[in-house]
Amino acid sequence: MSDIESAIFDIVAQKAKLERSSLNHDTELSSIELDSIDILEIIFDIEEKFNISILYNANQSPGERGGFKTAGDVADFIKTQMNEGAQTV
Amino acid sequence: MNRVAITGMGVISAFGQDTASMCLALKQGRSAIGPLAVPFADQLNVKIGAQVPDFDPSAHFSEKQLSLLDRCSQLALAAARQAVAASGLDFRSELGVRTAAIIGCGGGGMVTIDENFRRLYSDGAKRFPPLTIPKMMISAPVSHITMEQGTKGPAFMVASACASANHAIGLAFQMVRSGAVDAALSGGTESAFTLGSLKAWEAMRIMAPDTCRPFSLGRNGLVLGESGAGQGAGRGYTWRDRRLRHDLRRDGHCPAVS
Repeated sequence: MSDIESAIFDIVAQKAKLERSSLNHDTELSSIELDSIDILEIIFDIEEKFNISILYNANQSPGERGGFKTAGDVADFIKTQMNEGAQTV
Repeated sequence: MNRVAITGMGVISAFGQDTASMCLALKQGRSAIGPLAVPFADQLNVKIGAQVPDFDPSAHFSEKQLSLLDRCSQLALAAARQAVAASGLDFRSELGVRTAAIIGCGGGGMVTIDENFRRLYSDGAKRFPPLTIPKMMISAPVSHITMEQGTKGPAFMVASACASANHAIGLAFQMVRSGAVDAALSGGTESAFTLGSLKAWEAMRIMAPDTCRPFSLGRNGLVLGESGAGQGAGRGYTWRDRRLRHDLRRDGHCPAVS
């Protein structure tokens, strides 16, 4: 697991109030009671931590949890954004 | 026309966090105005206010709830819980569809606005927390009350400065009396003890240096306070109070409705 992915999982675990060790790539967001508002706050925390701006539009990501099913989906999305040069602001 | 009864009341105020504290203080003629307890008091000329002491948000709301709640919404929700509990009404039934929620507020989520705009303009923040808008919007208190209490009838805020809560209660009364709804949750909320808000009030040069004496010949200004107050009104319940008239007129001179 990369440092970035690890940091993302730290934030997801903190938001879900779980031990970091209990979280893995396949952990379903519904099983740890994270909703679409939590997703927004996770993205905000990641933006703050890495001083980047992530292009995420909730209206273009339908579904109860912002279009994400697992914690790994969230990490993959953010890693993709960062690899594509997420704007530093 | 229906007869209207106030079926339950709740209040979080500078007198305390229940209606008994408020009623006792009113009977005793006590004032809740005291020295301002804010960390930026040295930047202010105004030195007094009626703040709610010892209100611990975490005793009332979860961390997740608080991410959505400005202090004005916190006070409103806590007061509404008391009012609904006292009323014995259950809005998660057919009654909920026939129940209005009308809350008065002059400024909205001033604490959220002040904190976040300062972070942006002064502290170099690059972005707002994602729930800043739903926290600061003036309609937030009534939205949260309806979600928590389960009312599904008409729901809106009334903003008419210091008259906001009275107008809200009056409208709720009219709606129950006319039969537009069977019951209503109504009241008011305000919390604006921020540096920006207090400086703006100071700029109007209308702040009393000692205390508030409304309608008195010797009045010398106003004093800010904060509170949340709610009441449930329905028809056909035990009478506790009744209002036969309600007036929404204004003087036509002052920018603030009074």
